[in-house]
Amino acid sequence: MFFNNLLIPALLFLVFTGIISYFLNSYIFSVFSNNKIIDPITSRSSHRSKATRSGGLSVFLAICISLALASSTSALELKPYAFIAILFMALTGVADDFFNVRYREKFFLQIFAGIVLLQSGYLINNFHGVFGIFIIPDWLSIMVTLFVFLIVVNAINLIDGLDGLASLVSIKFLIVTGGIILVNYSELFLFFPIIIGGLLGFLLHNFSSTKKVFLGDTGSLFIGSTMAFFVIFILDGNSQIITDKYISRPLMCVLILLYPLTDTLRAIILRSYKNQSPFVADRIHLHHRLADKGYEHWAASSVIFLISGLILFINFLLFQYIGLTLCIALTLALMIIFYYTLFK
Amino acid sequence: MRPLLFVYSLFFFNISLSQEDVENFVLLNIDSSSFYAFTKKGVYTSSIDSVGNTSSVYRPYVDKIPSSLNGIDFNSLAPIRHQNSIYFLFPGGGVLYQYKNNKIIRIDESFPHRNQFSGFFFSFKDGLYLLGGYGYWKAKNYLTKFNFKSGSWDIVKIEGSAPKGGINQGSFVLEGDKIYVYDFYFKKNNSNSDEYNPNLFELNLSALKWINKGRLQNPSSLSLENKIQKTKISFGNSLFEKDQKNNFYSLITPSKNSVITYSSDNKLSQLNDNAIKVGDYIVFYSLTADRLKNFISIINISSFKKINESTLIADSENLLIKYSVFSGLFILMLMFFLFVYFNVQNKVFYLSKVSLFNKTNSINLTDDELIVLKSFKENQLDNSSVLSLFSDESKSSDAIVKKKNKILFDLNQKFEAIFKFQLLIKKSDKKDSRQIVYSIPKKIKLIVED
Repeated sequence: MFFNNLLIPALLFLVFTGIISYFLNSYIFSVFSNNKIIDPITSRSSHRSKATRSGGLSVFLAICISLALASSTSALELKPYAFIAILFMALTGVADDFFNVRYREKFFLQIFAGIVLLQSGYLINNFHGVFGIFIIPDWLSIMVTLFVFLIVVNAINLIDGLDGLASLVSIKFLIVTGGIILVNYSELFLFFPIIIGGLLGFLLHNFSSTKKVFLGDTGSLFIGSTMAFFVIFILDGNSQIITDKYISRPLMCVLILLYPLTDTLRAIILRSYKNQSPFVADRIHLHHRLADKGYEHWAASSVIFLISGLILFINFLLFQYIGLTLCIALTLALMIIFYYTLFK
Repeated sequence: MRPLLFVYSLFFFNISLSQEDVENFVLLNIDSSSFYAFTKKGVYTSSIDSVGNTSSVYRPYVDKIPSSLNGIDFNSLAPIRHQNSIYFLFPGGGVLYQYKNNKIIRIDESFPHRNQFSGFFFSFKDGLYLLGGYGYWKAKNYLTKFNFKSGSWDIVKIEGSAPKGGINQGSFVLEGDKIYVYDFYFKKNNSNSDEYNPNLFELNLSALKWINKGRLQNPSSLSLENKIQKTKISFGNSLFEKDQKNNFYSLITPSKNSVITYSSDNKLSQLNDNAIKVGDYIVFYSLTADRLKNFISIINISSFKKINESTLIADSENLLIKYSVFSGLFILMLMFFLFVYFNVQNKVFYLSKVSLFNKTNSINLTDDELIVLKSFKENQLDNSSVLSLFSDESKSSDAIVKKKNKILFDLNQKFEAIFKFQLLIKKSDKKDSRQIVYSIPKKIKLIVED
């Protein structure tokens, strides 16, 4: 009964998607290289060798193949509208990788995808006690859902600036969310090993020096919208979530996205303070600080992965005993300590 | 009106209640050996003896039943015994009847405005309650209590994690002050489709709090339409469940997290939702083959063989702990792999027109140093080849050797200061020990940029 009889399929799909993703990344890298579709090296670039932005496309295709196989064997239930929204975001990313879609247009496409996602029937219709609020009106829940969708999608897009960072942060998110889904919605569980497998296959190329591949906008928008869907799924008041016994849902959602949310918020505040556009590309992100301090990319990404995982773990352990307010205070204290010891 | 007495003694297990019109019954158990069979005209009080034979006494009502009952199937009423009285609830809730002094009277001042079809009608302490149900395109998760003073139904406020989206066609078990609810459908806020809720919920009637007990081990695969056909009989602290298509039934005890499946030996094929448990017997009625009268069957189920035993809900916490351990191992393996991968793999350095660099640092190169490094196509270069790079007829060979040595020395020093190890190692050739060769450490990979 281990993992509701899903252990073997989960491992099989993890390995299967990983292998497909690895070879697709290799193949699509060659295609991009041969056609001179190469990521230019600029002053902000952290790579010095030939690299392509084909990772997202490869991961997306690998995941699609595995999802098709998993749903045809009845081991996985797809939510059609959610899948359409995610597919739409991935295609937006493809267009952006090839033609550089303007930010304003991309933003409208994201809103459109968010509206499609709402059709899946999942809404943040409950604040779960934050500010003493529980159920909220329909119009407000639609606004909040769209807002959260946009924040999560863009946060993942913005932290994709270091080898392995977006992938490792996503893997952390998927591991935690996978556990929640496994217990109460095991029919959705296979999504997680499939996406993690796809990202692992990609990571080998992302960390490679000779065949370097980046997620690109395809990958970050695809992974970001997938994560946004699961955040909305968890925050939907109709969803039965086992972690309600251990931790507040909104706090958990913030913690599993701690780094993308913190870094995005910090970047926007600093840029606004300098009278710059919040979406301007620069090197003020926290992960750039680690890289500038001499950390190799994999090490910087791993440090961020482990720190955010540790903070989540501590909150899981202590929430029942110290409550929401003290957990937030503790999290802030830990973040300040880590900032001054590692990032400052 | 004087009561009429009929005594029926039929064959083993069976009793036939002959009526002029086909009439439905509402069955309600009295104790472990007797039960009521209410009709629209009167009530049978039946007893089952130790060998399964039955005897019945029929008493017509002293007054006509309320007119509101005329238009409905009598068997759709939900009966319950509460504080020495018997009550019947109208389908969907609201309208409530009381059987007292051999007549049925309506006692509520209500109407079925809340619509709680398929809700759970039960008695607890001094109250009559109705939980969940379906109506007006919505499934309900609220609990209503009958107010005997006002004759209306009031909503009882409950805390905790109530089943979101309501309870439609649920399975309910009342044990002490707890109601267990599972195997039900609900409506999502903005969706017309019925969704299955695969969790077990507990409603504590003393604390008035909902608790989600966990996910069912084997969530039902039946559609809502097929689920309505399923027979459910209250069985003490358990629930008797039988799918019409199957030749077995299950006794489900949520408080013990137990599901025991028994073979029904084809004796329960006519079972319907109005069946009741009386001692070791299941009592139910069904139409005779000519469909002219209803036929009450009494089946002793104590001799049926147990064929399977399982748990009702999966151990969610145990599952979460196992998953956490597994995930922790996975993360450790991932980190270990990354650490090993980046320490074992070749240190990649890039050679541009002006510098030598890797991901973290760089050193500037002179033209001569660049020429030397570019000539390292393999990781090794012999001394004569290095010297040939600086051949100059205008200079003596001694000067050329000195120049070469200085360039290599400076390059090595510069490199070591930044990257903490030597780039070029001088050693004797393995094939010819008289020859000197310069090599780059094997772990270093040099990539020349275009």
